[in-house]
Amino acid sequence: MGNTSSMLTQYDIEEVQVHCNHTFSQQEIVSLYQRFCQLDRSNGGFISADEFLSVPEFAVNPLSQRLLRMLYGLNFKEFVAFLSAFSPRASLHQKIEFIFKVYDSDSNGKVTFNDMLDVLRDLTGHFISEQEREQVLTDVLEEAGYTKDSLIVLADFVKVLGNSDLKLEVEVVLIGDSGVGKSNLLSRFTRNEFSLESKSTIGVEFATRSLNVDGKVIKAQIWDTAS
Amino acid sequence: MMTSPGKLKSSSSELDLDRPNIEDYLPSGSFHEPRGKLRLRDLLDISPTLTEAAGAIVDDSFTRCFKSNSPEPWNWNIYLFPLWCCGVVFRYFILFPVRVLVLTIGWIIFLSAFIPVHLLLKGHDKLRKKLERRLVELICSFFVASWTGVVKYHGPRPSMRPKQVFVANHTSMIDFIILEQMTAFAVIMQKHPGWVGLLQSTILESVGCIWFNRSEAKDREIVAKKLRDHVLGTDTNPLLIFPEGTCVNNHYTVMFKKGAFELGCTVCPVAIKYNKIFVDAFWNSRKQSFTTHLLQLMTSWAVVCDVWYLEPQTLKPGETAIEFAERVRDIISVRAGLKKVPWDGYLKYSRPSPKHRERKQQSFAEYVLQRLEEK
Repeated sequence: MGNTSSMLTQYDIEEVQVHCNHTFSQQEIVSLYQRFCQLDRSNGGFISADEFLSVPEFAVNPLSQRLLRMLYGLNFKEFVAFLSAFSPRASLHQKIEFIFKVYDSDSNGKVTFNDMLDVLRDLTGHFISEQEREQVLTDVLEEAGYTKDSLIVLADFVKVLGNSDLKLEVEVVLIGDSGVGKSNLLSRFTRNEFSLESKSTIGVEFATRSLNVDGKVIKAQIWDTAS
Repeated sequence: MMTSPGKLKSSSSELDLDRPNIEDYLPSGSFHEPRGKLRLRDLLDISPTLTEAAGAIVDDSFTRCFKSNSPEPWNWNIYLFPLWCCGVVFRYFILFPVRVLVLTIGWIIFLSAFIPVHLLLKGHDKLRKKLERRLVELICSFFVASWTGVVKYHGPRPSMRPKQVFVANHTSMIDFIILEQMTAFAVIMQKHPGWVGLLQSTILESVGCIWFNRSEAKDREIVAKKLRDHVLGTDTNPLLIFPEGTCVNNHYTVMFKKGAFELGCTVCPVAIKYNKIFVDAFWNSRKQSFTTHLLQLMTSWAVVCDVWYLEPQTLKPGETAIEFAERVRDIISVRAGLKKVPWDGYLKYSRPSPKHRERKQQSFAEYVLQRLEEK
């Protein structure tokens, strides 16, 4: 374990941390680096579209093509910066900015009607007709005080999304003394299993479970660390 | 998880055929929420989908199945280091040549007996088959010896009888060799290039093995037909199938292909668990050729593994082939201590079907339309 992470020096980690505004802890960056190396099968220093799509859970995501364009050719530092919006330490503004960037395909700081229509098309596929889609979008835009021709900027996004609660990635790092049952807590919570004869954890293991909290589905990602 | 009610009739009816529980696993969208009129915010807020995507980038259960986990170094420290160095010298310069020698002798004995038997005993089919069977078991024993296989077999040894098929979890091609040294199974496997391919088409063909190419759709039908013919034969070797269809790292099991469970035969599960104390027996075919894999095994101290022949299972009344396959997968996973994931192992070679994405799109579309109605 940890043979790849040993290639990251303290300086590297700190540099990455600064680059992502300290939204990730050092341990998280080490884990992300391992993951990055795992996905970068060709060792090109970046993860190609094909390598991303080899993760089935990513490939089935309706927004995967759009995200791939954003992820194209990112090195590890940029990769972490990309993910930083999903950290629990990221501010609401950062998260909204990220969403804005997803919409703003030509990154000119303005989102047009067509940009929004494109995302809606990705999300609904052929289950809504093109005409209906345009109608829906026009309606809600007018309702919110915009028109079909308005150019929407980041400030508008903040206004619209600012007081809604965005559903966030939750990461819980479990820290406790050796042998107190962190791993079993993890398996009980995510798989409802308890094992009397589990071994000590080496490295990091984690599991996810979707929870329903007050009507919102939250994906809890529970990290089980060695110590 | 999410049963989508309503008018947009799902395109997913055939989706469940080959993929038992993938939908339970995929995080479902969270679009069933406080009602009310659709607002701009509801359309702009794409965070659930983005979160899912980021979650998959950070970790996913599929790639975990094919990750080589190197054995944990046993207490590396300065005192053990010289000892370890001696070990390396011993393994590479004494053990390895001896093993190569053993294997060569094995091949010489095997070939000098197999070729005459194969060519001369043309008329005596029964005797020829019997001898060939013994010889293939013999060469497999030589292979196992060449990496000092410490294999413990539990449970009754398989016997030859019609209408039964053996299924096992798959970690490496050496699974086959380990099982073969006890019983001459006829196996169904991917056609390989190089010297392995040559062996497949010559020697193993005579034991009744069936080869196919994963990517050829035509091959599927041919294999299905050969399978049916094979299990009905009385003097054929017991059939061995690795229903995962690909090598998994012995920590997880991927979905079982249903083919083996549709033959109307008794299914005998075989669980194989490797002990990683000396070497990781997982053959990561993307990273290494089978030859390198074999060399890796031959330069390690030993390959330690347990094989369990488990209780034969038959299709219960009212059970579908997929449910049956899942039940057998359960039995094997429990015995070998493997975690189950709902993925089709072939996703290593192809992309998931667009139906899964469409399902997500459908549920969002439904949500938008429902909210529209509630003016």
